[in-house]
Amino acid sequence: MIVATGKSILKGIAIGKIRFLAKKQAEIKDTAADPAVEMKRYEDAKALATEQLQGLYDKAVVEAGEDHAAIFEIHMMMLDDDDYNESIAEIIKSQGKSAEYAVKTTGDNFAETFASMDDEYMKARAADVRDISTRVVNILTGADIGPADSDEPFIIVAEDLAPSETVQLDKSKLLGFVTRLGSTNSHTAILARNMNIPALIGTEINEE
Amino acid sequence: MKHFSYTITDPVGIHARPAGIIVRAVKPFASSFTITKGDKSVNLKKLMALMGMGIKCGDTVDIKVEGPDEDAAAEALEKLFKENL
Repeated sequence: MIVATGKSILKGIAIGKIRFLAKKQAEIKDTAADPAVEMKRYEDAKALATEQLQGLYDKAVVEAGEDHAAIFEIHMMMLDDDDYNESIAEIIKSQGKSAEYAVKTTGDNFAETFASMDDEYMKARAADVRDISTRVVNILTGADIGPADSDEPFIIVAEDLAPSETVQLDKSKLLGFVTRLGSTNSHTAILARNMNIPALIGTEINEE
Repeated sequence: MKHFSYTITDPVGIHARPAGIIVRAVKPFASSFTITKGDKSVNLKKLMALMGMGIKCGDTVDIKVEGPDEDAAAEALEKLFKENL
C-alpha cells in the first residue's frame, strides 16, 4: 500500500479505482514543405480549438458557475491574441516550420514569459498558455486527448491537470483526482473546488 | 487624443479576467489605445502583452486613446476601469 500526502483542495474521502492520465508526447515534425499549407492547417486547428473551448465554457458554466467558466473565455481570447498569432505566422513563413512546431514554440515562449514574472498569479497563467497551445498541437498531430471512457467510477492520478482537462472529465464517473504538480491558485484547483471534486495536488507520487 | 490616469485598486491587479474584459471592450473601437506604466507601454488590444505588464494593485497607469471615436472610447474605457479595477 502506498500512502502519499499532498495539498487538499476540497475535503472529502474518495475510494475507488485509480486510472493514470498519461500524457502522450505528440510527435512534433519540425519542418514543412509549404508555408501556405501550414498556415491553413493552423487556421483550421485554431477554429476547431476555439469551438472546443466554447463547448468547455458551456459545460463549465453549468458545473462550476459563470465566474469560473470565464477562464475558457480568456483561453479563447489568448488564442486570438495578435502577438500569439503573429509569432506562429512568423515561424511558419520565415523559418519554414510546421504549424505544430510553430504553435508549440510560441506557446513555450509565452509560457516562459509568464512563468518568469515575480507574481504568483501571473506565474499560474503560464499553464493557461500551455493548455491552449497543447490543444492546438494535439488537433494538428491528431493525438489523443484525455482518458478513455470507463464503465466504473474512478480517481484520476496525473502529473498535472490543465483547466480544460478538469472540465472535460466525465463528472458522473469521477470520484476525485490526485496530481503531482499544481498550485492552489491554479484554475484547475478553482474549478475542482467549484465542481465539488475532491482533489489532492502537489502530491508525492510517481507514475510507478 | 484623449488620456486619463488610473490607480489600480483591485488587489490582484490587472489579472486575466479584467484584462480580458478590457481587451474585448476596446477591440471594436477604431481608435488605438496605449497603456503606460513607468517606462513601459503596450497596445491595449493585445491581451498577452497587457497581462505581461504585470500591473498590480496600487500601480498608476496612463491610458492614451487616439482615433475617430476617441471620445466615446475613452469614456467607456475609463468607466470600465472604475468598475473592474
